[in-house]
Amino acid sequence: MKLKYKIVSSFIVVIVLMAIASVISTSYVLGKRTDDDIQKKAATVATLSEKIYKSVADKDSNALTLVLFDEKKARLDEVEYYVVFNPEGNVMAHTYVTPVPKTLKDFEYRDFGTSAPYEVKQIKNSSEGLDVYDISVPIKEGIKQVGVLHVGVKSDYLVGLQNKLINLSMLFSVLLGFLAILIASLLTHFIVKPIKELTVAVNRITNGEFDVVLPDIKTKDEIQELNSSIEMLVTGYNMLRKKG
Amino acid sequence: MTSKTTKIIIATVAVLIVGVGAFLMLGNKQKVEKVAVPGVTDTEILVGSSAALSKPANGTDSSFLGTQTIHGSQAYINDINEKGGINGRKIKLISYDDQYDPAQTVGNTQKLITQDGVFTLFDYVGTPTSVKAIDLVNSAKVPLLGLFTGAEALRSPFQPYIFNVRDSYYNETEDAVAYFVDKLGFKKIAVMYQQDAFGETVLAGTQIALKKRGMEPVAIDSFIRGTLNVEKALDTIKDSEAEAVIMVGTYSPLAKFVKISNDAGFKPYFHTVSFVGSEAYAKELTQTWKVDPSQYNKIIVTQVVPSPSSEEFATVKEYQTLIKKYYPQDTFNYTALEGFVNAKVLVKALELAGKDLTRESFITALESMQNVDIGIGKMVNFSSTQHGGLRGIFFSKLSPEGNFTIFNQ
Repeated sequence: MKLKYKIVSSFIVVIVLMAIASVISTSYVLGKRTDDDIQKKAATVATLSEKIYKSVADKDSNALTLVLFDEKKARLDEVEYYVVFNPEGNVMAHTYVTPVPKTLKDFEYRDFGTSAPYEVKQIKNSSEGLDVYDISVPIKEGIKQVGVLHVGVKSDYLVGLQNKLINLSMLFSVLLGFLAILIASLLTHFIVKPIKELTVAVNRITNGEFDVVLPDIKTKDEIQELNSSIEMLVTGYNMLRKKG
Repeated sequence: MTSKTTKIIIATVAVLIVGVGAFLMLGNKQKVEKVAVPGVTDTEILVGSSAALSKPANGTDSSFLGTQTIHGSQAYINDINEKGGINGRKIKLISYDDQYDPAQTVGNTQKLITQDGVFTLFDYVGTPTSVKAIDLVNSAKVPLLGLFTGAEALRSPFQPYIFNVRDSYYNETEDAVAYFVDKLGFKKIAVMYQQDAFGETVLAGTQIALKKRGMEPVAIDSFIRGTLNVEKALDTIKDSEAEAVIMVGTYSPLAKFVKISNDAGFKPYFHTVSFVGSEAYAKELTQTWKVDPSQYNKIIVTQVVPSPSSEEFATVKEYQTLIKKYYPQDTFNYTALEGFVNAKVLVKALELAGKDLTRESFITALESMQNVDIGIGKMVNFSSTQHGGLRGIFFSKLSPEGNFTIFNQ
C-alpha cells in the first residue's frame, strides 16, 4: 500500500473510532438520563395516587375523573392518558374522550404487594397508535391496595430530546469524517510530494545520471536531511570520479 | 365478427365495469360517511345535557334551574318531533343530573361523548360546572350549544366549540352598574359573591363596570358555595353603607342575605344576575324568608330573556302554549323560557345544516346565523370568531304579587 493511502486510512480509522465512541457514550449517558426521568415521573405518579386514593376507595368515579382531567390539563405535553383500574380489573376512570384503547383495557390488574413501587412498560406502534411509556403505580388506602393508576408518558416527551441529540452527534461524526479525509489528503500531499521527487532523482542517479539536480526540499525534517545526505553522496562520488 | 367489433365490445364492457365499480365505491363511501357521524341516524339526532336535576344530599338546591331549562327545551323539541323532526330525524335529548357539582358534570360529559355518542352537547347549567367541560369539548371536538351561564371563561379566550346563546354576565353587570350609577346616581356599590368561578366572573364584571366610571366597590365579601353562611358577608357590607349590593349565588343564600340585611336595618337595592332562577328566588324571598313587601321594589334581577308571561313576542307565546301542553304542572318562568330559546337556536342550526348533517356542517350553520330573528325582540348573531348569540338585557324587579316583572329602566 502506498504511503499516502496508509496515512489517510489511519487518519480515517482513528476519526471513525472516535465518532463511534462518542455516539456510544452519548447514548449511554442519555439512556441513563431517560431512566432517571422515568424514575422521577414514577415518583410524581405515586404522589397522584396518594391524592386520589379516597375517591378510588369510595368508588367516586366522577370525582376521580375530574382530578385526572385536571392533572392531564396541567401536563398536556407529556401525558397521553391517565387510567385507573379497580381491583376487579375494570376501568374506573380515564381521561379519554373516545373509548379507552383496547391495549389499555387489556392490562392485567397487578397486585404490587411489597415488590417494586412502580412498573414501566413501553408501548410502541400499537394498533391504536400509542407510543408511550406506561407507568403504573398501586393506589393504596393504608396498606390495602384499592386500585392501579396507569399514566402514559409520551415517548416523544421522554426520549425525543435524547434521540435528537444522538442524531446530532452522528451527523457531527460524519461531518468530522469528511473533514478528516480532507485534512489527511492535504497532509499527505505535503509529506509525500518531496519523497516522490527524491525517489525520481535517486532513480536517475541509479541509472548513471550523476549530474542530476536534486529537488530543492525545505521541509526542515528528516526528508530534507535525507535530501542533503544524497546530495553530499552524489557530490562526493562525482569528485572521486573526476580524481579517478 | 370483425376484430374491430370485438374491440368495441371489450372497450364498452370495460367502461361499464369501471363505471359500476366507481359508482359502488362512491356509494359505499357515502354510506360510511353517513354512519360515521356520531349521534346521527336516518331517523334520530342525539343531543346530551348535564344540569342540576336534583338536590344533593349536602348542599343547596339548584335543581329548579336544571329541570326548568330542560323542560323549556324539551317542550319545543317535542313539538318539532311531533311535526316530523328535521329532515326526517327526530331530536332525542339525553339529560344527566350533575347536582351543580363540577365532578359530576365532567363524568356526565365524558359519558355523553364516549358511551352515548351524542351528536352535540346542549343545555349545560352553571359556571363552575360548565367550565370543567371546556377541555373535554375541545379534545373531542364536540359542539356545546346553549349554556345557562354568562361566565366570561366560556367566551374569552374564544372557544371554537362552545356556542353561548344568552348574553354574558359582564354585560349584565355593566347594565346593572349603569342603572345604579348613571341613572339613580348611586356612589356606593358593594359586592357579595359565591366563592367559585361563577362568583368571581360576576365580581370581575362589576369591578370593570365600576372602573369605567372611576369607581370601585365600597365593600366586597363572599360565602362558600352550597352553604347559607352569609352572616359574615353582611357584617362587612353593612358597615360600608352601600346604596346597592350586587349579589352572586343561587337563590337560597341570596334570599337569606336580603332578609337578614333588612332585619339588621340595612335596606339598599339588591341586584343579582339572571342565573339566580327568578321564580325560585321570588319564592324564597316571599315565602321562605318572608322579606318585608315594602322592600320588594328594591330587589332587582337582570334577565337575558323577556318576561315569560309576555304577550308581546311570538316565541314567548309559543313557549306558553307548548309548556301548557307538555308540562301543565309548570308555571311560566325565565329559566324555562331560556331553555326554550336554546332549543329554537338548536333547531334553526340543524335545519340550516341540511340533510347531510355533520358536526362541521352544524358548526358552519351556527356560525352563518346573522341577524336571525328568534322571536324575542333580539337577533341571534354568531360568526366564526364570535360565539355569543344574543345581546340584550332586560330588567326585572319583585312585584307586590311576588313575581319578577320586567320594567323599563
